[in-house]
Amino acid sequence: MKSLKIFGDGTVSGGEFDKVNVFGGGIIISKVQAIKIKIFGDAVFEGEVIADEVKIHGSVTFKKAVDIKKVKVYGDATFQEHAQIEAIKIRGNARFEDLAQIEKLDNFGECEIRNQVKCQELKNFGELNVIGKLKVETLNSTGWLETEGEIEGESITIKGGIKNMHLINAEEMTLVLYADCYCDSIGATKLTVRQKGKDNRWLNDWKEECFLNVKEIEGDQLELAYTKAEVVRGDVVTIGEGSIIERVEFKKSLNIAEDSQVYDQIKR
Amino acid sequence: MEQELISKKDLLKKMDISYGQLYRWKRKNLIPEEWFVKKSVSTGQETFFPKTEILERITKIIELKDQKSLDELADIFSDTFEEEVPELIKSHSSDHQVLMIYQNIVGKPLEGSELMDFLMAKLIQDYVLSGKITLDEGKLIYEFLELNFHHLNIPNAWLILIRYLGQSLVLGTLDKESLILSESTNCILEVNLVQELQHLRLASMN
Repeated sequence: MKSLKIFGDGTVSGGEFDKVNVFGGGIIISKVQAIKIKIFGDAVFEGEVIADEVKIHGSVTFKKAVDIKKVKVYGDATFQEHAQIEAIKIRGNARFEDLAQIEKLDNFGECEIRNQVKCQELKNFGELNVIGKLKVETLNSTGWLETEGEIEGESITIKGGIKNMHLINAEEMTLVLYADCYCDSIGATKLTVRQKGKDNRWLNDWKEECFLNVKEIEGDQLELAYTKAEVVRGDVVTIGEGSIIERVEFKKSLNIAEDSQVYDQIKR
Repeated sequence: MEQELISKKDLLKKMDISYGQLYRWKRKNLIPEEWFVKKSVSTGQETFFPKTEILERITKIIELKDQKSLDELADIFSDTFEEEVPELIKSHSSDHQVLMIYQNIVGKPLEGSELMDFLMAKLIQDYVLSGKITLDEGKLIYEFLELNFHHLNIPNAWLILIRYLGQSLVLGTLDKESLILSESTNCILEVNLVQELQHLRLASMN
């Protein structure tokens, strides 16, 4: 099959290719179906893109929907419409302006999702910013995660920082505080919040204790430490050290560490 | 028309379920997002639910949760029904009386290629046959649905039959709370079409 190479500046129509390579500045004005696409310069895809593998070293804008198996972003990538991707690794910048459906997302750089994202497995080591809703099976974040909409997940592990303006709804959630975290509310079957461990000593010295600031926590088994909350409702509740909780409503049991403060406690 | 609400706390107590279960069901789309209504109360903010709908839904979930997976349950409670038509054809009511009345109202026998046909048959079975509404009112509803079914086939929409000064009138509203009726209006029937369709789907599975 044929391949497409653009070295200087070129505007071409799309089609079916084995390989598409853009070294200079390329505008591809219609649908592209390719096995491999590599962008070293600047590229704009004005039609749909269907591909097995896309590597972006330069900068690229996808103006229509994409359906790609594997994406690696070392430079900049902007997806202006729906993105369906099996696996994406982001070491540079990626920006999704519409819905994104991704099986496996690894973010080492910066990733911004202006709409919603649905993801099976999400690992975030960099900075991830979601304006809409984030729906995942498993989420592991050691970087910074910011969402305006809800986060839904079966297993959520955060060893870093998080800021969530809405609700985190998880089956099982572990939050290890490496930075001050903010959440509006958390609902979980099992929730554990603890201070960063001793294993990372230099980070420990670098910053003092961090806190989780949250309005409302609801769940079955709650183990909280360094948590400042307005209200905590749960079945089995443990309030560990460093916490200040205005009101705890519990069903089965409540344990409060000595140096924590709970102003109001009610057994339901 | 105001909807009766139940607080999350009361709901958990009444149905004997935990926060974890409620959040899990929300995550799996067994409980629609629109049902979670945040309201200010003296102790801050609390979440409320439309009472009849949520109690019915949770009763059903608890009843079915041991037989079906959560994903299967999500399909049962989903708001789109187009794929179900073939299933319904196999299992729809073959009650002789219903079919007779259906033919009388619609003017042709129940063949059932459209979702609405089965819905109409169900409304006849539940409300005309039981005497809650008259045959003529059934006709009014059919005429109304024929034109407006596609508008009302969404979760919060209701079909309402009122009697005022001896006249029957069918109304549709996309949001029940924003409908204000005078006190002398006699509200005979309030039907949420999506719920009715869900009942149909459940019945077709058994």
